[in-house]
Amino acid sequence: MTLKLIFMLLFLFMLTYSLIRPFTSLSSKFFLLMGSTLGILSLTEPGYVSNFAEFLGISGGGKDLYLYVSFVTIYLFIFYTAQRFRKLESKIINLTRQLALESVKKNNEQLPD
Amino acid sequence: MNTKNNHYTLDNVYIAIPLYNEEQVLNDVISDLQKNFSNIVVVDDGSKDRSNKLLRELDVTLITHAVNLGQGAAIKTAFEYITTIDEAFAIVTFDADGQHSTEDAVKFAKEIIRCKEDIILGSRFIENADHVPRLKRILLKSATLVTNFLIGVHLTDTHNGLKALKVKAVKKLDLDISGSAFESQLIMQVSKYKISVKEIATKITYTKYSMKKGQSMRNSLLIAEDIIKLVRSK
Repeated sequence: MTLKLIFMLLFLFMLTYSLIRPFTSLSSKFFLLMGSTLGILSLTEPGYVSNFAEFLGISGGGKDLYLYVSFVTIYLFIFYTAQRFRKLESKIINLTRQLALESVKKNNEQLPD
Repeated sequence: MNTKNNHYTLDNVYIAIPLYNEEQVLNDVISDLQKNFSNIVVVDDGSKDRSNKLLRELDVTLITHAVNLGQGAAIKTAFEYITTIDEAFAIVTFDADGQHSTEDAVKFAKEIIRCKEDIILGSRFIENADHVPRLKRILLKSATLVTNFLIGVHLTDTHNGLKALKVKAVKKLDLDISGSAFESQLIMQVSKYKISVKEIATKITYTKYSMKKGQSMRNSLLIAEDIIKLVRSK
């Protein structure tokens, strides 16, 4: 019972957080919203999630639906993290280059003609 | 023969050298180049050895990356610097590990001034292909085959560090690959922007040192990954 309460609080927190937090990517917001809603439903009315899974054509019921959603979430997380990493790398490259060029420019200005 | 560039001399050709941890050979490579070229731009790509200290004592323009960014990023830094210089007519890119010869650099510099093409690429496979070690030859030929197929060009060597580029052509390029696959990106953009290009034979000296510093089999997988990304984003 305590465990159920902890999970319920966690899912409620995630749901509130997904509604309040400003997201740069809509898909992140969607996945957090969907995950937390499914989580709450699985605790309050497990039948709904199974019905929803059946509606989607997933034969294994709610558990399989969760498994699939988890896989998609993990892959999306990796994809967006890699993308963010590339953008960050590009910023570091530009910053390093500008610093290096500025330093040469400064050195050249200090040189006697 | 194009005569309109005839007032340019080797002083208008800038040598661009990307460099990373080359303390053992850099003195020889640079002093050899200085016999013919007065404008040498070295980009120290975050070397961890004494390279930077040694370079400060030489008569070259030294640009220092605070951290190691990759060969492509270092070349782009050199391009950005040289393209701001009014006297610069062309750039010759030269590897720092001593595998290129100064004679070839001079040949490329004179030819880029003389010829109508905007870029000259070095090729190990026009003449003296036997000098290339077998494994390296297979690797390079495969990379060339893939690049030719994916980009739709007909070159004999797509990953040769020795190149001559007119500054006006460099200004058209927008290179953003920081690793060694920038060579493929360059060729892709040459094809995209219809920049005229030709190949000239080069002789590469493969020493134990340069082989150790060069592209390994595992590195070539990273280059292949970059090429696939490039083609996907085309």
